Amino acid sequence: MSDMNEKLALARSIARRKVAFIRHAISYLVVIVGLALINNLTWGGYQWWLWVAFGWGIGVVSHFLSAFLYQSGSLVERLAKRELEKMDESDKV
Amino acid sequence: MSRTRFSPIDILGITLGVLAILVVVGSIVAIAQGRMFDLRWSIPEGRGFWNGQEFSFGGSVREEKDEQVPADVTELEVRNIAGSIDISASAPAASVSVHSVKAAPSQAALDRVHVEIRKVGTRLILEEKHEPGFLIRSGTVSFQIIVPRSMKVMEAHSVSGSITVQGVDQTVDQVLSTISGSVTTNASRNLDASSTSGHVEFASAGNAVKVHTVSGSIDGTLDALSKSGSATLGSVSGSVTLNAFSQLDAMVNLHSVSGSVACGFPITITEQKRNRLNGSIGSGAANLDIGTVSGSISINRE
Repeated sequence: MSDMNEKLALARSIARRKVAFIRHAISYLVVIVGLALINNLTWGGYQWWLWVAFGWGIGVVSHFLSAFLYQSGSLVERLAKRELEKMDESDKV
Repeated sequence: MSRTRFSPIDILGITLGVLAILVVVGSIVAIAQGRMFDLRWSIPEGRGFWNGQEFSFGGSVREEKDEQVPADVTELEVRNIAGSIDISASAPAASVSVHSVKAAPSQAALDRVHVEIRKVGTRLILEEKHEPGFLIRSGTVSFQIIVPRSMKVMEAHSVSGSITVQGVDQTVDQVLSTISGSVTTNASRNLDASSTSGHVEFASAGNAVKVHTVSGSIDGTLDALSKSGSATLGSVSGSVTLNAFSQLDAMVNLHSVSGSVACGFPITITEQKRNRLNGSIGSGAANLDIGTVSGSISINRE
C-alpha cells in the first residue's frame, strides 16, 4: 500500500513538473513574440529582444530538461537499478 | 519489453521544449555573429489605432534630397542616429553639397524624421532629428557630403552607421565616432576616432591621434608625428596594426593582456615580455601608446 502511495506521489510530482514547464514555455514564447513585435514595430533597428530570448531561454531549456529528461525520481530509480544489478553480479562471482 | 507511451501533454511539452531550444540556438547565433543591427524584419504595411490615434507600420519609403550650402564655412559637424555618413572633398568647391537619403517603413514614420542644416559661425551643422511617436518605427538618414578642400575641422557622430571620410587633405582635424559601424578616414591631421563595435581604419599626420574600439580592430597609418606629439590606440577585443613613417621618434608602450606584440622598428628596449614591449624608437621624443585586452599589436615600418 505504501509502495503504491509512493508511486502515486512520484507520478503527481512528475505531472506537476510537466504542467509547470508547459506554462513556463507558453509564457516565454508569448512574451518573446510580443517583444519581437514591439521591437520591430517601433524602432526596428537593433534587435534587443534577442538578449531576452537568449537569457530567459536558457532558463526554459533547463526547466525542460529537468521536467522531461532528468526527472529526479526516474533518474534515481534507474541508478538504483543499475547499482542493484552490479551488486547481484558481484554476489554471483 | 516495456514501451514508452507519450501522452498528449508529453508531446506538447516536448514540442515546446524543442521550440525553446531552437529559439535559444537562433538567438545565440544572431548574437555571436553580431547581426542584431543587420536584421530587418519585413512587416507588411498596415494601419492601426492606439489611444484614439491612427498609426501606420511596415513597408518602406524613401526620400532623397540635395542641398547646397555656400562654402563660407571651415568646420563641419554631422550628428546622425541611424544611417551612414560619407564625407568626401572636391577641389575648388563653391559650396558644401549635402545629399541625404531618408528611409522609413511608412510615410508617417518618414515624416517624423528631419534633417536639420544650420550654420553657427563658421561651423556647418547637419543633424538628424526624430519626432517622438509611440509604435512608429523610426527611419534612417544616410548622408553623402561633398566639402571643399578648405575645410579645417570635421566632426561626425553616429549611433548606428558607418562613417567614411575620403579625399580630404592631411590638414583636416577630425573627430569621428560611432557605436555600431566602421570608421574610415584616408587622411587627417589630428584625429579622435572611436567605434564600439566596428573596425577603424585611419591615416593621420597630426600631433594628437586617439583611436579606440571595443570589439573592432584598428588598422592605421601614421604619416607624421611631431616630437611633442602623442598617439594613443586602444581596443578591447580587436587587434591593432600600425604602419608608421620610417623617421618615427617616440617612446613606445605596447601592452596586451592576452595577445602578442611586435615592433618592426629598431627599438631600445626598457621592458619586454610576451605581451608587453616598452622602449624608445630614436630619441623617444613623441609618445606612442597602444593597448589591447585580447588582440595582438603590430607596428610596421613604412
